[in-house]
Amino acid sequence: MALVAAGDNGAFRRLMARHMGRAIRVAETVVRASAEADDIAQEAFIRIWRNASAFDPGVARFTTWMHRIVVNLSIDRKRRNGSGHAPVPEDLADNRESALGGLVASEQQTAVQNALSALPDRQRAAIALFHFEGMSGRDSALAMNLSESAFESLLTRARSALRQRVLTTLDESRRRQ
Amino acid sequence: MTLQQFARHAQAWGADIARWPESLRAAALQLSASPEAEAILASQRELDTLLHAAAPDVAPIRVDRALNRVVTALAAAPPRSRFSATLSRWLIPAAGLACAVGIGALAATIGPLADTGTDETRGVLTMIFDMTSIDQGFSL
Repeated sequence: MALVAAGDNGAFRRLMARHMGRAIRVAETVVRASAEADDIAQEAFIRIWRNASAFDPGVARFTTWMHRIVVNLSIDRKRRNGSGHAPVPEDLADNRESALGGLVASEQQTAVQNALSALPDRQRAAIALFHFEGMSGRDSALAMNLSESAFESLLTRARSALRQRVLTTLDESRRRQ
Repeated sequence: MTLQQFARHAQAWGADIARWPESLRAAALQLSASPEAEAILASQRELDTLLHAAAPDVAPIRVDRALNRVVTALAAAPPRSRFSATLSRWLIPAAGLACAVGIGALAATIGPLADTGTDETRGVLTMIFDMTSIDQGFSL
């Protein structure tokens, strides 16, 4: 980051190559649209380049700082576009194996994606940071500008709602079969 | 940690106690061997597994495209000059320091030589600044 702050284009490219995927994934989890997620990740890195000298490694890790920018941009974008029910991304339901036996993996994934889409944006962001990116609770809280206990509450609400919705969907599916 | 607290934390952080906040881990591990705690963790593990499979896949081509668009956008924008970065990091604080030193040196050089005051003013100033007339009671 010191090189990026000093205007080193090569260092900035390497930084983007390492972190762009994460930025897109977090943005996509929040906004639920791949094209918009790409825009948000690009905008985030433009901001990172322009404000690189403001980054203080003594305060937070680079990934925490980057995720804060991405989460804020994503939530702002969703707010501007209206806070209706988020669509389920078209390319998310694949056939990966999952733990619940007896149910088709794609069915489980559809249920999870629908449940994720129904969550408030900030809860989706919490799931993205802690579960999808594997960040610690502390870093996730920092990225969302929350205390660790406030982040724990947010994550609890998100997981409870997800669990409830997924179980309801899968129960309905079982009854139909 | 009570079993109720354990369940509440498991609901937030999931079944992998290694990912819980450090302050909770030791107590959680102690409890985790009990059958009740195991049942709680098993239930949360199902959700963890589902969530692991739910992360969006980002194809490398999307990453490359996004990266190239950033490079293009920055190339089209007015360059962020090295000078401005250097200016904000070093030159402004350095200039501030240089000004302060300059003003101090000027005051030290001109101030004592200026002889515009009256005898009364000079007397007061001498009283204040003439350290030799004061017994400081310590030495360097």
